Amino acid sequence: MPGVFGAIDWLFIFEQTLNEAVDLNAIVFALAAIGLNVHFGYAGLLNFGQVGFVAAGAYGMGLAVTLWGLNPFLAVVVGMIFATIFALFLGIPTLRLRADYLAIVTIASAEILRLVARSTAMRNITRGPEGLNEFVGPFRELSPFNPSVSYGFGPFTWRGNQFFTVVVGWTLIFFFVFLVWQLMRSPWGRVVKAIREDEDAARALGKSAYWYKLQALILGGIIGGFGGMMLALGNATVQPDFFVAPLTFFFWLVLILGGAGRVWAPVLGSVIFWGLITFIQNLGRQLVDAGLIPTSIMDTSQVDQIRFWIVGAALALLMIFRPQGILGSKEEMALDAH
Amino acid sequence: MILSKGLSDMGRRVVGVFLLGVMAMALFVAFAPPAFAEGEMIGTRLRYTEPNSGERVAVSGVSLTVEDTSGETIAEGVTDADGIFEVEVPGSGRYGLTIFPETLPEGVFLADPDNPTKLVEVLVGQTGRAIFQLVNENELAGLGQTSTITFRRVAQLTVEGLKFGVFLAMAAIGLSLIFGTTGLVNFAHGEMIGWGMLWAYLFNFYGFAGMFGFMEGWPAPFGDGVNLIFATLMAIVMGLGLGWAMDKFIFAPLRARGTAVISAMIVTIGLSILIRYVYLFVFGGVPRFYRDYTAQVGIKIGVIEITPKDLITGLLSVAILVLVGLFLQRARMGKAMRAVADDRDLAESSGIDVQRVIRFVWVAGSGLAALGGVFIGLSEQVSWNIGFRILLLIFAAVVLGGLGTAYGALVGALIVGVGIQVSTLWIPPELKNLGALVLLIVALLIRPQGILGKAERIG
Amino acid sequence: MPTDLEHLPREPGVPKPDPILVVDNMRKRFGGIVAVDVDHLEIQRGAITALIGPNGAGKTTFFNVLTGFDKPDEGHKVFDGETIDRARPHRLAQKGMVRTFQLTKALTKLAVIENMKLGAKDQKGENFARSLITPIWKKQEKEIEQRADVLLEKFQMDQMRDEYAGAISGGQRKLLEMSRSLMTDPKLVMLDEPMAGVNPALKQKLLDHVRGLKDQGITVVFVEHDMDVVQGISDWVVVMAEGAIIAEGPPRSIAENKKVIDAYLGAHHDAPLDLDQEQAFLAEDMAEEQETEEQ
Repeated sequence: MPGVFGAIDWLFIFEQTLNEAVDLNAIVFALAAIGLNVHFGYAGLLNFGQVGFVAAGAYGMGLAVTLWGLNPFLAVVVGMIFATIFALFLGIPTLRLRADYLAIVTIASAEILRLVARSTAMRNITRGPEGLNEFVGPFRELSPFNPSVSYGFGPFTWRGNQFFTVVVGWTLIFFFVFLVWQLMRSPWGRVVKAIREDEDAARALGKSAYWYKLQALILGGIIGGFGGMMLALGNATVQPDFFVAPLTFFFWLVLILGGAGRVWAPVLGSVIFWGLITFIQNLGRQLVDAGLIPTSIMDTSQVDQIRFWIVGAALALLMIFRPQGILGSKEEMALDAH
Repeated sequence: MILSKGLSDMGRRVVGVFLLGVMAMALFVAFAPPAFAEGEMIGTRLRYTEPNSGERVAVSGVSLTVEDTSGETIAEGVTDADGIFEVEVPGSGRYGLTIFPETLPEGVFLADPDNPTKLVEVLVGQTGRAIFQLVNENELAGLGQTSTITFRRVAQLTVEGLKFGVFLAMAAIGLSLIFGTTGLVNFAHGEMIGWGMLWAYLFNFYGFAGMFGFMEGWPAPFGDGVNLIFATLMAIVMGLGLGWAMDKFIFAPLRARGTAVISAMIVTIGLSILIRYVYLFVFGGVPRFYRDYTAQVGIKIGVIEITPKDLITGLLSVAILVLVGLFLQRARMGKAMRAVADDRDLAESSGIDVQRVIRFVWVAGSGLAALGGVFIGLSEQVSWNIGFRILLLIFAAVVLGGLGTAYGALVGALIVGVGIQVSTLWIPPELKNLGALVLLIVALLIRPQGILGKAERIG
Repeated sequence: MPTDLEHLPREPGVPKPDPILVVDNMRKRFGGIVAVDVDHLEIQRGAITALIGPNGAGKTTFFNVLTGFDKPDEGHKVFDGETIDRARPHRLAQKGMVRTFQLTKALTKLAVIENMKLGAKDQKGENFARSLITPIWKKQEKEIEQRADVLLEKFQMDQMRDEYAGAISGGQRKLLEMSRSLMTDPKLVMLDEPMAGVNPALKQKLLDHVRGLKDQGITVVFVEHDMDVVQGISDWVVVMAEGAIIAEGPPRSIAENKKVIDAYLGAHHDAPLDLDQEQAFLAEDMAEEQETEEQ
């Protein structure tokens, strides 16, 4: 066994793991999942197209700069407006219907959005599959950090521009977690949660289920849109093929892992998820490189597919064996099944 | 509590099913046999019309890869100054040549961006060639609108749409019936279609050796591929088995535990992602074709042209759909299925074994999906991610027709099939599936219960 | 008032002295079946009106149509002098017409007290923007909580105020639903089979509470399929069969009405039940309720 462990650079793997657990991906996923938590965790909306909101935010912000030359603050507002429009587009036809219709329409609409964005017909606007690449400049000018200097310590070290993204990203996360906490302890949150439990009961008590669901859909969508804006800023690009449908279910896994309906669940879920994925993939790659996994079974490119297996299996198994996730309460879950 | 005992039992079963599936497919990879010979090449030449001069100009520096039938990339490279790409391949046979459209220079586009992979037949001692049609900006803008709308085109597209519609209907009925009897929207239904499509491919090329490695070298059907017709029957058996296993080991226990339908729905999503990416791992990302009946010349019937395979599979599908209809109307089990879909409690109290009916629906629906998968694979191509692409169209079909009604699924599927084909008269083919999705949303606005669905009662 | 009703003609669609709810030409079809077919009906203000009929008579659908949960194919309704043909359920609730459901709809993952507080009307904190600033709604929230506590005490549910609504018994949920509906300050309470699946002891308690509503000046309409329950409590009885109203009158007159007896013939509710039968039906009802909740 020493041979096995000797061939692997554990320090590198652990550093990568810790870094990825708080880096851009974790931030984007946390924001998307906070939005999803508003949708599903609190309002009970089956949004299977959260990736569409992420895309709407990213494209909105990107286009505001590349197409209309707006300043960064207005660009963020445009990103929010795009997410809102997407929410209205999804919500108006479906929120009066049963929950599964929203599920079907959201997954379809998110895919529509991606296909339209990468289509040749939209090439002059969205730049097709290559996506938007020249919008990040004005945002980076706002950064107080020197791009050529490293900030942070140990595994948590970033170059100036990346550090700026990480700082802004985590600030947004804390802000939205606080916002959700405040909303959910207010009477507004009570109505939303009541609708999750039983929409007709809420309506019979004089609450417009439709209107509250629409508000929740917009709010969660905008938070998801901020995830997309962070993604765009961090990667300095918006490409349509990033926003593929399975990504939505990564967000779902993150949320359910943490515990749907808990304020911190999306953040905890995202950090654990990205730590775990990074650890497993790095280990896998090194095992393949060291010849410990024969390439006849798996090559390095296939190691990257493992994450989909993990996500799929984990989502199904969590739902079966621990639907309350890490933070949820078992008693509360038991109330659902008599 | 009883629950915890059920859980551990269930845990073993779930893990067992996962492992079985993964193992079966892994065996298949391990024994994908390459065939070797010498002196064969594969190649293409890329040119396009320069819009200003109107001359044909070579397109250089474009990346291409060559894959063998197992999806393994065996060569890659870029086109040279003359726009030529040529590489040696290990022997005669079929290869996939894939172009990477993102490496095309500014202003050059693939005329058919949906199909970046061409199937090339390489004969002994020869060079197999593929043609990629490249267009400039002006030509691109004209694509899809250039041809005038003639009766012949409309008729042709309608027939193609009907053909796809009946395949879709066969694949969709299972989803609709499972929803009708259990209230569950099965997001893994697309993977059940892929399941049939891929198993047929496996049997078609490798016979039973694909499943049981030790049989390699035995005569067909054990150690060698079998004719697609036989492979299809095997795929249907696998499909029936998958439906049975999914209900027996996963969804029946979940129902017994009283798990909410929404939780079960999220389970189906997890399964769908897991299964789909196991397909990718095993099968590779390159679309492929069955060994038989691939390149067929169309026959003319009146103004339309259709290949014999499409004609036969299309008519076969119609026959099967009629049988399904008769079954639902006449057979005891068919009536029981409709009764459960109508009112589960009432059905149960009138002595129908609801769990047995549901099991039957899963098995039959999965079998139909598998067959639909083979037909779609034969008509188009065999690919790992067919499940997701087709799932959205199935959703459009069943919601349009009325979720939970078998006939609704049929009507919806035909509308979607014809709709997406005929819509290419006006919109670019790359956006044709979009029309179906937009139709879905519009339908929800106007008549949410679907064409054949009934409004539901509250309270 | 009730005594006035005694002298009214005992025929379907009879005008009442002071109607709070008036229904005209109401039709609702499901596929080929006419679920509701009511020419005219008036509900007397301040009285307890029972809506009875055999299973499948269209009582619940009629209820759904009245409360806006189902859209009728045609018809008019006037509530408290105001036409409410197109009003959605939550609007009707805001206007003072509140309903309960045959299958209790407790908000399982909210505490009992939160269930109660939800019922209160005109909450400032239910507005998105205002909910963000606690001081705006804190004071009103306290008042609502006090009111809820008073009601809980009255319904003898104060000891379970902080439990999840999903964790209390089926009968207590019925009580919760009734008391929660009172948080909306209703003029008219519509109860859909409040006694279904409730044990005999609790049944008596529920009946007392229904009488209590009337004493507070709240109009009550309730659906019931058991004629015996109706006798003791209601001022006026409306009988439905096959979607139409076939008889109206004070409770005693209804029990002797031949049309009503015919309509009930064959159904198991026609004769007074002995205890064994009662319990058998009860078990059936409970099993049904549980199954439907599981779905």
